[in-house]
Amino acid sequence: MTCEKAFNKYLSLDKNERVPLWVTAHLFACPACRMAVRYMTRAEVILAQPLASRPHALLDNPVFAKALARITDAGLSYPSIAPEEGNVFLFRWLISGLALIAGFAILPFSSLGAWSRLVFGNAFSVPFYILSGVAITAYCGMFVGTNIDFFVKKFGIAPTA
Amino acid sequence: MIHRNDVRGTAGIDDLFLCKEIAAGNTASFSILAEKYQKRIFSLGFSFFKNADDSDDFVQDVLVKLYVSIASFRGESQFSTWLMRIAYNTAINSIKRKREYTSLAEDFDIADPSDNPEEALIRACSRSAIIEALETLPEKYRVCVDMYFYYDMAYGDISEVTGQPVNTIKSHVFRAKKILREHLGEQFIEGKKI
Repeated sequence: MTCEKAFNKYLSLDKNERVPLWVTAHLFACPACRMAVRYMTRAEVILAQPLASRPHALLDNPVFAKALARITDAGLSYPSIAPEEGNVFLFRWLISGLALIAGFAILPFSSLGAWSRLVFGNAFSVPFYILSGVAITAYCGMFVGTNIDFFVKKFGIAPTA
Repeated sequence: MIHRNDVRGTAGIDDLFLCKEIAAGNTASFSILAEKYQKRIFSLGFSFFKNADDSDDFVQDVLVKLYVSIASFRGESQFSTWLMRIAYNTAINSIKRKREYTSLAEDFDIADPSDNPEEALIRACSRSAIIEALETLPEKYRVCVDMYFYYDMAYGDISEVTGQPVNTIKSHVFRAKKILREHLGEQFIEGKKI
């Protein structure tokens, strides 16, 4: 395999695209290509550095202040919505979740459960408990998914990408 | 809800969360988002308008458009790509726009003061390589090369913003990378063909 072929493949890769194994193997064996890749990577990082987004705000920025004034003057501001109290929505989710679990726990001992056992015998229990587990897991997933903002704020979970 | 005094500890908050906060009337979140991307918007404006005053006006226009349409952002694409599309379309449709797009490599010194001597040399070398690559490119593709190198955008994102086909962008960026490789080879890897 030639250096040219491996390097052309490397150059054709997109941002953050995984380097193919055969190119990695070539780079491992070829110091010249390895050094060239190192400089290419550094060059790309250096070029992108000045325009990388900054993590904090400067509230007294004049351009931002003018833009905000234009928005306010044009009456385009979004009305401020008071945040829902965290413990209210948590309480609702908790009550619903407990009701779901209680329902699954009581069902086998109810008349419906007795009838199901009578009709299906032992074939009732295992699928029922699997169904219960899946339903409770899905409920927990929905709870976290729909309230992800709350968890991000509460536990300071930062995005990794 | 993010408050005015909280903004310095917001590095980990993602853009979609900020968008939701803005749509709920939180101005502090808007200032965070604006500051985060203002330099990018200004740089794009400078390439089209070629002076700081018009570029500042352009930043304002983009921020107003961003604010008005922020409730429609659903997080289906990256926020930065979505914002760049707003900025690019605003620039293209602006009556103040100068005819030719000027690359950041050609006319806008964005050197980083924190560069050490070697980094400064790599930056200068890369800049001259990009200028050489841009010489034969039509205007509509110059912005694509800039978006790849300076705005750190992937081919698909550049295509989404500019409307150019991914493969065309890829081939122009590939050519620029080859020239960059030659320049870096001549400068740093003496006597070795890379």
